[in-house]
Amino acid sequence: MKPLFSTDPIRKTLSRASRAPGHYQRYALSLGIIVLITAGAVLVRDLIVPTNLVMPYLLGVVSIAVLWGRGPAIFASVLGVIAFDFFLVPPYLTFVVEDTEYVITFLALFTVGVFISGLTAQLKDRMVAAREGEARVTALYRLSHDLAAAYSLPDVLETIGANIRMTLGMEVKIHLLASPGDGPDGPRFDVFPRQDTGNGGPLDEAVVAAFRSGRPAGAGTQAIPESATVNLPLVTNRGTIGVLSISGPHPAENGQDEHLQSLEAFANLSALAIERVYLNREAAQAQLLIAKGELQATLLNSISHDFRTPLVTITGTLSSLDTGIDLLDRHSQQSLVRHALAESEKLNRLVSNLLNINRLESGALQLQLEPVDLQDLIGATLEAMKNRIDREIVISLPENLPLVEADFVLVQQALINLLENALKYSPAAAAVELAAAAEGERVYLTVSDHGPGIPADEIPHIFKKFYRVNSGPQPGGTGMGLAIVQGVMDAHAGVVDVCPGEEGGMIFRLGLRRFTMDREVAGAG
Amino acid sequence: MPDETGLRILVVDDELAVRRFLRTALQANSYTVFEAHTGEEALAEVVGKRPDLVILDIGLPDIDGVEVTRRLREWSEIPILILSVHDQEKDKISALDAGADDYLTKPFGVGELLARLRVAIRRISRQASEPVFETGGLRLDFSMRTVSVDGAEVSLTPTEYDLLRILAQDAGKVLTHRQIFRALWGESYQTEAHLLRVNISNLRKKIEPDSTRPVYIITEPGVGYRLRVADA
Repeated sequence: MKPLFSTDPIRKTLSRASRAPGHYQRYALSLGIIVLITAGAVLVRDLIVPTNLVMPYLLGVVSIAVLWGRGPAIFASVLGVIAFDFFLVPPYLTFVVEDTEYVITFLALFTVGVFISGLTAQLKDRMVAAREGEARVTALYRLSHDLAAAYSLPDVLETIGANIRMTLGMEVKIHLLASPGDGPDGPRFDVFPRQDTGNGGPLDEAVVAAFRSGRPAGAGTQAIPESATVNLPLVTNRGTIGVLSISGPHPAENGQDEHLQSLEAFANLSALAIERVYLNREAAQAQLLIAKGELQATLLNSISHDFRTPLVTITGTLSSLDTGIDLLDRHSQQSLVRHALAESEKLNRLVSNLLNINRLESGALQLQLEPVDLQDLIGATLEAMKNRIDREIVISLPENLPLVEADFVLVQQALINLLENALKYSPAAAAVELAAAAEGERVYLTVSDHGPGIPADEIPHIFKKFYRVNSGPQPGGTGMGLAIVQGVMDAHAGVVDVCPGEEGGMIFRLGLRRFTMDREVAGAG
Repeated sequence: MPDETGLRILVVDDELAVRRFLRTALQANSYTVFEAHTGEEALAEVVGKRPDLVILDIGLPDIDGVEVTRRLREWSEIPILILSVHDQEKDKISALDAGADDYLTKPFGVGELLARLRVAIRRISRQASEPVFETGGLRLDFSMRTVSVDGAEVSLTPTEYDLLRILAQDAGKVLTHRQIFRALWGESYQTEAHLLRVNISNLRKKIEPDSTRPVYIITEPGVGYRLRVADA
């Protein structure tokens, strides 16, 4: 029987069975043993009764059966009977038998020889089978052990390939379904290991056959046996997820069933491992979705609260004007309307912020870069905020401040957000300062307040979306302001940082790239 | 100044609520209002109703406001006031470059709207070029090429003077960077955008009381500049 596993580690396990001498040698050796036994028996034939001399022959036949199997053992039995008759049964050197009792001895020797050789041969087959089974189990165990340590899909595929190559001495291509289902042009697979050239040519029809039938196809199977590869479907609970395509030396006719069985065991183990990777991946995605959902819920809570507050004032104002316009004196009417207007402006800013953050995050934003005069930017910002600024803003700008390269509208939004925070989180009596200075390749714009400041442990979080500082005054806000500042500066490849001021409060700093003529001229050329 | 009441205004917007609000606000200020809700309808109504001014939304269901502006400008000098929303900066600039007079970002207040209307209408009624322009303490004498602030003459470079003159000739109207640039230097210098920023900055230092808080030359973020007129 041809051994199933043919590579080194396994071959060692099976070598005792297969290092045996060749076919004819076994018969020659059997002959030799019978000759030796006969020679020995001839020396002592005068001392021992011939019937007892049968025993060494029986021992020889049993040994030959154990060592070399049924054929040589039967051969040895026949030889033994002949030699016994010729040399040990009087008259010697003839086949004539004086005492017919010896016929029984011949028959017994022959029958026992044949019987024992049959038994030992069976035993030996079982041993070989057991060893092969053990080798297969060991190989499968090693695969499952290695697979348990592989977490990513590439690792799992690499492990399967390496294991099959090592234990079976065969090359593996793993076809994994690229898109779900069997398209009109047949199933589409990702092939591992990746093909070096092109897309690896047309798909082997045995691969497709195995995928569609869910049964092995190709060499040694009933489907497309002329194929050079054995193809085993990777079947999981969710259906067939791919095909294991194995090429290499295939066993002769009689070993094919077991060969296929062991390949199927490999395929099943592989399918399980790949499915596990898929399941892990899906679990991670599900978790991500849940986290996203929670974030959206938080956002919705925060937003709806912030949106509703101004709406309360607006609705209240409009309804009181609607029902009781005659009951209100002119002054009350005006006061109501002014408040409602301020609230609707706040609502508009909220919507703009939300739009901005969405555009910044989705990457849908295209920067409109232009040379920007920071003094101009500050002027436009103060103009845009003139209704909200409740105190003097102290501005200190150096002469000949260089231009920066920026999107005016976005950086203005960032500055508005910083100023709004400075005004919101510091008492009205505390000054807010705006300054700019060139430093190397950048020009920095700083906004300083003299409020209570931000606790050091909260500083790393303040640029996160929807984060609000937990301590200190709670003037309300969506937690979008600084996230937008961060987003704007990221889009500009600029910097934003924050540090506590020397006299309390915080200093926020925006760093933008200095505008250079070179870039402009190069662009024009 | 001509009588502004009874002027005919065409409101083009696909949103009924916006048209209704504009109609109410404008009629309360004695304007006569016509409505259109598509670009094609707007073009037809300008021919049919002969309005004095068009208030034009940028986002229309058929042809957008930029294209409507372009087609109107092929044959008409009618003042066009663009309505845009927050994320339509590019379209807004395109419409202004195509010849629209001004823009308002939704949502806007009625006060703002009426001020822009007055500026746009005054611009076409000021036919003969007046030799002198005055707003607040700023005075330009076009024939003498002199500029004074609060009675004191200011010395400007030729480029600064031309820049101020261009803004003053369309006082109250927003001029895009491109429009100013083209008027000052022609198309060929388009890439040297920083020249405009530098000249604006220098001009402000000479004519503004505080160049960080300008009162005459107003920046329209991302769009351009306008010279503020006293009552707008």
